[in-house]
Amino acid sequence: MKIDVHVHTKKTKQGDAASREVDANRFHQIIASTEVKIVAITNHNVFDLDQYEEFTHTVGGDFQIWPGVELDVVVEDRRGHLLVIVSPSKAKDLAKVICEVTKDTTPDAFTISISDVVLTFDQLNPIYIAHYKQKKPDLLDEDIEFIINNTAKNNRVLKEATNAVSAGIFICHGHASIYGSDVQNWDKYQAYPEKLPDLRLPVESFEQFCLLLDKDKVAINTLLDQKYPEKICVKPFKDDLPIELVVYDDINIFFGAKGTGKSDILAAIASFYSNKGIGCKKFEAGTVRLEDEYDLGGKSLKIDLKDFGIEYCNKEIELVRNASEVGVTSLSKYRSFFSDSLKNKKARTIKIKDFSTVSTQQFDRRLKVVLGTDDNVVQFLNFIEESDEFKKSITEDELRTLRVILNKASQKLGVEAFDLFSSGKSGSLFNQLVDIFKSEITKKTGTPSKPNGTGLREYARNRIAIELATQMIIHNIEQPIKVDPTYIGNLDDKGDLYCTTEILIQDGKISASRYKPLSKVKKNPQKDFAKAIKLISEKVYSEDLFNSISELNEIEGIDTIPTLLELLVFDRFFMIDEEEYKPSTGEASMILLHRELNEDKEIYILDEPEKSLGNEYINNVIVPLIKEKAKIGKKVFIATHDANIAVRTLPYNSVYRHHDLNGYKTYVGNPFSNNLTDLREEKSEMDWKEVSMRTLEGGRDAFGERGQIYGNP
Amino acid sequence: MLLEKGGKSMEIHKADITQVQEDYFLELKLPENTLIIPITQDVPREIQKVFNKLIVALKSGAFNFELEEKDDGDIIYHVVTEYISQLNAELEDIFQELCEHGLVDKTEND
Repeated sequence: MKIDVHVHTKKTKQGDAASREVDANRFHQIIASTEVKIVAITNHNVFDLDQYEEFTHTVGGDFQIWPGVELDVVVEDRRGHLLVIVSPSKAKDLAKVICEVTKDTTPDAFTISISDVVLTFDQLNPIYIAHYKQKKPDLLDEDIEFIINNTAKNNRVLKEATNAVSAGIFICHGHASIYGSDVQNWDKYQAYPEKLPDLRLPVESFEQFCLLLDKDKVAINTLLDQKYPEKICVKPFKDDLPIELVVYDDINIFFGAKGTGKSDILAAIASFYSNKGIGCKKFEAGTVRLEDEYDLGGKSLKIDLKDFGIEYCNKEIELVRNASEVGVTSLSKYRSFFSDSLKNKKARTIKIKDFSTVSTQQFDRRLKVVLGTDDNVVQFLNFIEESDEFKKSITEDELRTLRVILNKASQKLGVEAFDLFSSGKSGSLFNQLVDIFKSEITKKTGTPSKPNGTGLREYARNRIAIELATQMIIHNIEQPIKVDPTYIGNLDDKGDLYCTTEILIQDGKISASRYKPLSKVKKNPQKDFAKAIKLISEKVYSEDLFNSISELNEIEGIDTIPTLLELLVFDRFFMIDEEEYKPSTGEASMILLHRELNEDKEIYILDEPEKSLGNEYINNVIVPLIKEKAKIGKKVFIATHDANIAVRTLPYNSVYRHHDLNGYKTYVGNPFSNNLTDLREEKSEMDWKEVSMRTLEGGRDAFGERGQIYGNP
Repeated sequence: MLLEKGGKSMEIHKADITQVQEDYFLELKLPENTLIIPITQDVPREIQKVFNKLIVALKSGAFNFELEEKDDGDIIYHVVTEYISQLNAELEDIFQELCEHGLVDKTEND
């Protein structure tokens, strides 16, 4: 949730932009559409109680509105602005106080001395937020120091910076800082919240916020406990006692010098949850190669050609490989028949021997088509009888008509099928009869029978079968295989990274070395096979067809290619904008970590996720992602040396592993209470911030961001 | 020559018997070229070559052969008459098959 400690709802001074005016409904609508859950109304020298109450009433419980004012404070001849924000329960008191101090003057003319501010407002236990440095008009350090020294609650004096960077810089130097939108134009408000401070703990009231500023342990624990603390006991070290930790459905950080056992603790946590049946594994940066993760070597790449509408062509390949020449009828058989039949009178009287056989193939082929069509008609008939949806789409009459038509068609097809069947059978019986007569007459009379045919029919069928088979193989070889690229992740300015798999069927022309066979077939047989099939296809009706088929069969390793699957070659690579791209080690780490965090899991266990990653990427991508996981109640365990992760994620739980002459110690705490307590000796405490700054890489810089929360020095 | 057969157009090409010394040959006269089958020699390879050309020619349309009339009772004439009769029947079958498999040049036969 976001907090905005500085908004204007009214134009109270001449110099105020009219665009600061906002009515209750619009105010409600605009803020409710953002992540902002706490707003402090701080108009110039005015607190309009009526407006405040109207706004509060309109907003209901959608977000909190804290009453406040932005005062023109005068110190000697200097003028600076100071926000005074009080509890909603003191809105009326604030109104009364401001009314009194501003009577007989106008918001433009009103000023108040720094000492009067404390005298007048401190009774309301406010939070003071002074314009500071670049935030003009600003109060000087000495002015703010005056307030700190004279207020009852000096933790509640903050400095307002102009933005996160300046807040960060101030905090680095020990200043408690925060900043608000100071909205100028409500039309543009939706752009502000992204930059506003984030409240990691779900602050429910002004009083609770004040307790956080005071680092009140009870208040902090109450808020932390809303994220379901779970006590777990792990035994990461063989020779040591088990470690009992309270972990949260949030970010749990493990930090400490190298070799203090953080990774072992993470492994033990992974094992603890796995044993409970919750699937989780430790992500260890640098141990996995992106190339292996995406199987660039294609070890587990499996393809089913049918998925791409491609036939395996095993039957066709077998047919071509086993094809042999079909003989033709020798003319001498005709000569011999006619010369003998002229001589043999007996044989001449038996006419049946002179009959030629008839072709029955066309009946068989046609019969198949007719029976197939009839099957489809019957299936459709069954479908219309069974499908309620279909029945709903037509009327009873239409259904009856359709049924009649289909039955009639089926009957006609049945009749045709019978005719074809009987014609085919008659033909083949006739052929058998002719063959028997011829053979018997030849035996008995010694007269050769008339040849049944020239042999063209069988010869042509053989060649046609080879032509069809090679056509089928070539057609399928030419089919493209399109595999959609897999999105891997974004590489900032470089663009989106994809893993692409190019799969081709070797057509005899693919020579690029980047293509590897998908199966165990060698490259040369693949290429030679494709070339040989093309050659056979070209020579189907030439006399050296069978030389080409022999060449196909002589290819070394030809037996390793029973189907077109064995002709597949592939190349798998990474790509950005259609161009091949080789990610660097750092980019590979980015991608792997990003992928890990994009997986939908209940528990994330990350061991040094910062390895090989730049600060910018950690800050801009990884930290927000981790925070996102925490926000939706996932458990995130991270062992890290990086302050960006350990500090800027503001973990609910920080576990510090410490090693000195007395051995290993485990401290637990959090950034909100700013302390770390020894798990075994509760009295032994450390300063969370000090330890973080000392132990973590980039520790000092990271504390800049922490001030975004509630100005913790 | 174009004849109608079973509702489909059918080209009729000439066939003839030629004699070179003691050997007889069957000449099948396609429009583009003439195919020659030795009658008095057994050379299957030559017949296969002719068959290949006939199948290719069938892809452009159905055809039959008609022998020049020459009934002088010569055995060669009987042989060729029978051969052509059987060949014609087979050509028709094969053309049908080529059509069914979509192997016929469509522009020629539409």
